[in-house]
Amino acid sequence: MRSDTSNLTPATPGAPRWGLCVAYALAATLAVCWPAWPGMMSFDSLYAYEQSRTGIETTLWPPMHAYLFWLSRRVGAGVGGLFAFQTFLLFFGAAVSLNLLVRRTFWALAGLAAFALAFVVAPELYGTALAHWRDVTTTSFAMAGLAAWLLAARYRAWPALALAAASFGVAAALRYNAVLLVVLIAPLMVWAPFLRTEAPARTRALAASLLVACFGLAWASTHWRLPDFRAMPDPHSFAGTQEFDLLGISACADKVYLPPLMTAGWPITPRQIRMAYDPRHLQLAFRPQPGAPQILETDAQGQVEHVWPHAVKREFGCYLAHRTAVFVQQMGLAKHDRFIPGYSRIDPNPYGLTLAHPRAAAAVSYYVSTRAPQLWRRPFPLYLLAPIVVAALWWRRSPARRLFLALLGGAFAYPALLFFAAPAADARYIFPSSILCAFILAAGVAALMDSSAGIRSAASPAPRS
Amino acid sequence: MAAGLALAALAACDDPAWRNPATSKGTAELTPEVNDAAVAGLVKLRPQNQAKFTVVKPMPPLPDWGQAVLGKSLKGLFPSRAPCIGNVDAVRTRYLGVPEGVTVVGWAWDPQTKAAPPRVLLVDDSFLIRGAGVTGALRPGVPKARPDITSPNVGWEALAPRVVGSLDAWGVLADGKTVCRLGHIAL
Repeated sequence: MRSDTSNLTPATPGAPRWGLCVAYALAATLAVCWPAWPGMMSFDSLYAYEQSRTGIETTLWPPMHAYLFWLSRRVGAGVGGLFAFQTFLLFFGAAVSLNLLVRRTFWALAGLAAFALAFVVAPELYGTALAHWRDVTTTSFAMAGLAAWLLAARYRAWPALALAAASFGVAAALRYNAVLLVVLIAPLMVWAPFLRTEAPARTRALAASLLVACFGLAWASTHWRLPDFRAMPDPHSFAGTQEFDLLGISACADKVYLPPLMTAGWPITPRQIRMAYDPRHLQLAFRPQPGAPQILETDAQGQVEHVWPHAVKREFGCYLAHRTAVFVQQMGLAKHDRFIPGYSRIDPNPYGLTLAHPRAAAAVSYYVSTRAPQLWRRPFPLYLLAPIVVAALWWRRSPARRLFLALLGGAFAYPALLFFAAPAADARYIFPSSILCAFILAAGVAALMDSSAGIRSAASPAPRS
Repeated sequence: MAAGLALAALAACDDPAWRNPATSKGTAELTPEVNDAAVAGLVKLRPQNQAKFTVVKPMPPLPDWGQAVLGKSLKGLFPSRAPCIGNVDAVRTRYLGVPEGVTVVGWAWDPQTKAAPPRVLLVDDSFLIRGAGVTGALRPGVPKARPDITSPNVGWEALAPRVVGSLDAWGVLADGKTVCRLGHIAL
């Protein structure tokens, strides 16, 4: 694995502690997977599973999830195989990263406990992890990428660096916006491939090439399907967001910006639009309203795309008000509720997929649904505390401060894009960035305490004999 | 403190006044942006009859025999006429996928054979066949309202690949050669 031993001082203060990481990841996998086995499945999950059996029909949902289901079935692990794999990978990646960033075992253990505690304190993290959602798989590969990069830095190993780039690539192939999760990590990987700033230009060029190749493959995976490499038609995945925006703008501006085909040609008033509009989810507007024409899920044969830029330009204040209303729901700042903090079942399906432990599943789902709405248990405190920890790391001039700043950049860039692009405010959408914040808190505080303990032990007098 | 203020400001957006339907004063008039799209030919004709269901899905395929007569003249295929009882009730489903179309529903009864005509055709103003369907759907309300009709299975459903205009429904009697008019509907 070691490819360059010219600098023998490890770039990370801690060691991987493989045994501890495996034990931790196994315990966490058991806690997540057993009650929900083989994994809660919504329409999205079942559609990806179906495509793993019948072939890729659309790239509206990036096909990487279907490929992972296919691999899981291919190795005989079924649906549950992917569930266990993504959960193990998430916690194993976090554990390896944290151990590499913290020298003392005690503080590493404390950090790992704090990371696990985040899933209990913010139940929507646990609720999301119970489901076969791409948000979880994306996070798992992002955490694995971070771990691989830190291993590459510690051992100056190119294969580990390639693995890190590949992991980030898979994360981006699962969710386009995962690119933003690594928006500062990727440049840092290029500037300091092994976390040392004195990297030669050739090393940086190679790191950049790896990242470009992996993100290029991720992009290609959403345009050409496997195994026949057939080019897939553009799924126009932004049309849903545009339709949501036209609804929100119309409701706010008290004017009708909906193309007639969105209501099958029937006239609709702004009052009726306000009745239908719900910033939690576009789909909620499609529910039949007594005495009002039904709003349809459609791009209205291109009319939505045509009207959208004009409406945004004309009513920019209302556009921002609507997007803010969605963002408030997205970040868990709404007063009364948390929107879909988890999933509690496997939807009816023709594959015979059912929950193995329905009582346990009901118990954990009850816990998530009753605790997640509590204001202090929502994820936004993670986003408020993470910058404080990073600021403390900079104030203490921690060697890992740039890395943590890059992680924080990803954790904020990810929901920042959602502010403009989210067609819904499902809690799961911010799972990757929330997990990144939880990791920054757990690992950052552990690193701070670790270095404080180091300073104290160095400054304290020798023990009396 | 700044973070707290930002949080409070965001939370205030949770239930903004503009979401309240009671305060709306706007009309159904389209904004200039949407009107421009209409002028550009992007907006379709407005249907006259609101369907019970409108779905963004393709219309299901017509039966093979219906596909075979689509576009042909009713007068040419069925020269004989006979009286029968029936009605065109509603546009039940409007399909906005590709192909577009409608499901039209009604009921029919042939007093000669004391049975529902087995098939139904939808015909445009030029007597060209534009849709087809079958009878047999349960309509218990019909024999209740008309005791001379002795079967509840007199309902029919017919598909037509169009969403605007108007159609006449014709029943095809059991001999396969005679048709009877059931009614008219504007889509």
